[in-house]
Amino acid sequence: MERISIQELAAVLVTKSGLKKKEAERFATVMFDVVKEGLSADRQVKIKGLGTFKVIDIDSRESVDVNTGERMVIEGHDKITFTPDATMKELVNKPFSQFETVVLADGVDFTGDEDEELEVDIENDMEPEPEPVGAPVLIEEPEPVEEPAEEPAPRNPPRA
Amino acid sequence: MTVQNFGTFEVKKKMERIMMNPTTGQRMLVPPKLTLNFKISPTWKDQLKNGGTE
Repeated sequence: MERISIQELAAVLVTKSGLKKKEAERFATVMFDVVKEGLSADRQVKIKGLGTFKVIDIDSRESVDVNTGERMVIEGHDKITFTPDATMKELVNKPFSQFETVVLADGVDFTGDEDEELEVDIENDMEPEPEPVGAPVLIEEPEPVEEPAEEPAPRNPPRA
Repeated sequence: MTVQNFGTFEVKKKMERIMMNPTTGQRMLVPPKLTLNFKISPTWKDQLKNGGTE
């Protein structure tokens, strides 16, 4: 998995928007700080073309300490969620955009099927399914092992 | 894509799966898709846990 840095993000900004490198870097850095501030203040931050960040309140709950098995309380706390907006979803899903949800007719069962043809077009970016083995694989018979000259089970008494 | 002290955005692939509407009994095959996922950075997460609502 690639790790993209703020610098790289800023470089793309420069190309797309004509901002200077320093401005772009400052913008990229500050933008995320603004998101954090916005979340503290309003519990929700929406960025058009990107998505929505929300602060979710998690209530305290009882649980068990994994190491000791003792009962313990997980304190109530905040959780940040992110939901991409429609534009972003489409952009991210682009390689798979040709797929559609299809209604299944009664009696059709896909569980465990690998060679059934699906009603979808598989184009470039899709990872190919492993082909079911058609040709028999040639397994070399191991050479018959020659019987050892000595008896496999020693007749001698076991060593003390 | 990771942003220091903020979090990580990751593209995840979801396998196709069969969904059923419990009311109508209609079954659908949802195709595989790519989703965008966000994971908060541990630094920020701790700040939230300790301070509660800032």
